[in-house]
Amino acid sequence: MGERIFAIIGAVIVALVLAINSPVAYAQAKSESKGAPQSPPVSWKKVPDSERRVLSPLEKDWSQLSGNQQRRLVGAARQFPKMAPIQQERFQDRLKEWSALTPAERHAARDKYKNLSSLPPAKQYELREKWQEKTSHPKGDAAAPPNSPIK
Amino acid sequence: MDTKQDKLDKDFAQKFTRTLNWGLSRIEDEKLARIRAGRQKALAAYREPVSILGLVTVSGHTLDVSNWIRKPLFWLPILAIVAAVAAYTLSGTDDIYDETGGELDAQLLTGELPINAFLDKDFGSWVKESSQ
Repeated sequence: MGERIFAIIGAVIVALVLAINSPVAYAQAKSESKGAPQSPPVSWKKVPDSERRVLSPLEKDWSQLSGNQQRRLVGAARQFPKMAPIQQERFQDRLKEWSALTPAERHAARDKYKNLSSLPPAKQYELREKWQEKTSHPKGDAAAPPNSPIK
Repeated sequence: MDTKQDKLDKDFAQKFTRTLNWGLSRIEDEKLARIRAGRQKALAAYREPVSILGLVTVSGHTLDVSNWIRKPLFWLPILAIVAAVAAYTLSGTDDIYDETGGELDAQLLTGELPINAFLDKDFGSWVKESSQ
């Protein structure tokens, strides 16, 4: 009888461990895509020092962000040391603006970025020029006027 | 008072006992010693049945820890708990990073175009047209 109880307890624990740590569940929990389950929030103290320094402009608002967004930001901050100085500057300048967007806005922005990245470099350049042209001569109907000039 | 069936049972038991006892005096010493040793071993291992919370009565042997640790099934839940704790500890550090999503966001935030471009409807339609 004792052996059976042990075997049942063991099987239940193994099943729970597999379910909680399965790659699918893990990936889904971390995603900020539409309909994805929310991950639990990440405590500011739990963020490693190097990433915390990069994300310091968000310290006050950190608890207001969703667990998924927090994980993406920590993942993004991990890339910081690999960035060129100009990219590091852009990253820190845009961090607050990016975090203030709604999840839907961020989702839409990512989609556009992915579409743009899939275009040939010449086409990307052309669109950047077109955007610059538009923002330097606004016609008054700009849905979202730019805050910073293109470098 | 004994019934007819009781008498039949008693007769059968007596015959059976006689049959079993018939060869007792002829058992070889070596076999006798083995039987005796087996009996003593069984008696030494015997434990009085134990009642748990007055609900179930199990063999006293079941509660003998030295007996459990020799059985592989005893270690299964312990190993599972250790694995669960290890997995939780490891995921506790890795779980705070969304590497793939973070990489994409980092590229978007460090690109030449400002965030506003990716929120602009016109820009979105230009990208869409160019993709087609």
